[in-house]
Amino acid sequence: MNEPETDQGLEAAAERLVKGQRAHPAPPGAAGDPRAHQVAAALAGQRRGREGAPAGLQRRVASLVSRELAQPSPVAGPAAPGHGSGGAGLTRRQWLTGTGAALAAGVAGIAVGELAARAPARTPPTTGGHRRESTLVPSEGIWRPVAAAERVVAGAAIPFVAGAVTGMLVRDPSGRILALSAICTHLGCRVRWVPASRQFLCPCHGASFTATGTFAGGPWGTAYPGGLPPLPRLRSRVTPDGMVEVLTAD
Amino acid sequence: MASASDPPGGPDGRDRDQARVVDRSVPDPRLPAVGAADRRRILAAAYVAEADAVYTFIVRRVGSVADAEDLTADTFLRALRGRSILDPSRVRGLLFTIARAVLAEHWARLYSEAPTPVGTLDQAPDGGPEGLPGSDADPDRLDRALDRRVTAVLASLPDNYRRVLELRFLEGCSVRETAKQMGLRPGNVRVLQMRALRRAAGLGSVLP
Ligand code: FES
Repeated sequence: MNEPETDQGLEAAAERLVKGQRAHPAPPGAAGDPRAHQVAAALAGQRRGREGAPAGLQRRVASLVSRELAQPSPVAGPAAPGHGSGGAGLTRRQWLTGTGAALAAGVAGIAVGELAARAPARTPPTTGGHRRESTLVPSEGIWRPVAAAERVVAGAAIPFVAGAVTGMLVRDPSGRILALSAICTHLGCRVRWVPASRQFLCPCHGASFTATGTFAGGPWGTAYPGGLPPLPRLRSRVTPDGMVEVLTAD
Repeated sequence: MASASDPPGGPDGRDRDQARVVDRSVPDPRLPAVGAADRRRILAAAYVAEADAVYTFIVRRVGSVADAEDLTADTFLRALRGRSILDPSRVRGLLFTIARAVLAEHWARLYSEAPTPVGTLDQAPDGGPEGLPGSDADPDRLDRALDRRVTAVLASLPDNYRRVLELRFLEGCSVRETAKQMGLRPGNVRVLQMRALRRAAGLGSVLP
């Protein structure tokens, strides 16, 4: 119980909730535990939930749905890691919400896209069978500590968020630590680790990836010849004092 | 519409996922025999019918209308962009499964300094099958669980903690109004509210 008496991040979040404003990312150094914020959100949510959906929401969703369904080929191609989930999705969102709410469009996915865009040419293209792994290496970046190496044990995946990168640490079969992007290469949802099958599964449309990030299957039949690209690898290192660090662009 | 999906047979061979595959060259027997345009309209209606429910599910968890609108849009986009489902009866499950993923990402983004706690948020708290992709989330069950947790958290707080949270968040009172109602100074309300939130957070996650 040595919590600070004040927590500016949480207090600001509480105030925005009462006023009905957008949440902002916690300022760096703010208490890292979202649970207090989630309690406040769930309480405010009781009230907001009773108010019902805003006027016009249904109409806006309806236009989004009919536009999307009118696309000639819903599964024309997976999002390349270079494009993340942002791209056109962001534009549609802006159109839907009438704002430039970049935050909501899966910033993590966009950030990965940014990383890939800055990656040197040795990042292999993801054409063909997507068999080769790609490593996202920002041309300039900072090493961020993400977890103690001893926590990364075989059969587990340690999630981390470092800067704009959302990833997972795993041990590859040879015992080396591997940092993978946790952003699904389909449309950018965050994949989860399923210990029982030792696979990453994407909650959005059910893509699965092996423990080293290779695409393992999805519900699309042969809609994507060659499957999806693998989960991109991130440059990582272990410091002398046993911290895993990941190279991020910001 | 595009070429038909081939019969399932992905390398994973999991039945559950394959059940989602819909061969679009064959009309769904549950649908009336209609043309592609009609089928699209029926499917669109299935999505649109969930708009308010998806929004409400989300706003009950993020507490802010603006955030909930954004995340609702995100949910629909991801559901539609990755359309593996063209069976209207599966739309609801898909939307809420994706809504949960989108919510987990929302919190991870806000608290990017907190890799560990956030990493566990998207697991189903009861370890139930809903934590796993491929099984559809049941929003009603999740909402009941959320309500139970909110009620339990409030009930286990000391009176003044509960009161400050009720006034601030359930009723939306400003710090000044809350202070007046509780006979406190505004500064005390701020401190009390922080303590109450932290105490409540210490009782465990409210998120189902
Ligand atoms: S985003 Fe579609 S399967 Fe991951």
